[in-house]
Amino acid sequence: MADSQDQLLALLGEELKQPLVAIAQLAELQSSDDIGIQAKRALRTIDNVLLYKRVSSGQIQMALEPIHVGSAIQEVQHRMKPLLMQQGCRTELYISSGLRPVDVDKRLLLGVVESLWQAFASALPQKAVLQCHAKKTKNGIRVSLSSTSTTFETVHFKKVNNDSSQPLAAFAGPSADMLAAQQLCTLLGAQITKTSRGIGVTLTPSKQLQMV
Amino acid sequence: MKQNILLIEPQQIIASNIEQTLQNFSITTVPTASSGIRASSETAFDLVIIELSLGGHSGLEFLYEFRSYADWQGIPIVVFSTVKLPETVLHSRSWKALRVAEYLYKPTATLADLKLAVEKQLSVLQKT
Repeated sequence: MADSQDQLLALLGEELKQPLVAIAQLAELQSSDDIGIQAKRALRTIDNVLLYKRVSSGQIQMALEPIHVGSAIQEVQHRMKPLLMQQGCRTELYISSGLRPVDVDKRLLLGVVESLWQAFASALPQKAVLQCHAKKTKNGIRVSLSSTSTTFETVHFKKVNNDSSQPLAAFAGPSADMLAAQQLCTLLGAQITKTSRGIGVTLTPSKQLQMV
Repeated sequence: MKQNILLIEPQQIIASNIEQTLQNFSITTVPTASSGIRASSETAFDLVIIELSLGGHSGLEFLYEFRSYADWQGIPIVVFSTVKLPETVLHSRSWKALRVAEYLYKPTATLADLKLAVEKQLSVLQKT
């Protein structure tokens, strides 16, 4: 039963890509940016859900390498910029200097950050500021998102605890992006939690470089 | 005289979008791998654009068959596909043996990216 559900999900994901690609292309031909931005947003959600399925089923192997969190965040910020600009919103990055790289599969890390970013964007009111933090903590490198003008927590969670050691759960309402972020996090051996700096994930610095 | 491009694309709307983007070329559009092989035997193409996710024989099977013919060795191939190929595949020996000139992932690549890739490959071809 679980296998056929997985198969259906994979099939659905791949099938949905086609009309969404067609919509994004038609938007490009007609210079209709707004439509294209939403189509690409949906395509990213599908890709991140499928990524989780493929890695967790062993279809593709994880490739661990030391990744600089700051550059990963900047890459995601660049991709997300049109989506946030569409809402009149902007992003502020607070990336601590001297952060050590983390040992992760780059696709998974980008998938987690991207999914969280999109989930946050869906809850942002017009002209809000999304803040992305990356800093060293006693448990590792923390990447988190926050905004002073969002009801993000009440949109996406039935119950939010402020205990940063406890993973967030109990999603409320549709949030494929949040679910994708959570699932991808489990593959990274991490969990989505909440701290004073927002909702995010704590990653372990690279062991490869620690040995150097 | 317009350069000839073979487009193997099963989705009619996407095919139409690509034809509109590449108006300066003569495009022959077919929906399947086998019709692509048939078309290649009837017309001398300067470049092939292919979606890997095809009904019947896959785009990958087309690539293997296409590259098995001596006459078509020099024809550049641009893969424009919804199939997301991991880096390990793109750097593999078997993929490199297919001599795909460019691989573009449809969900993130624009039609403008495709046009640039096509123009680049055809200008490389003209110089050789």
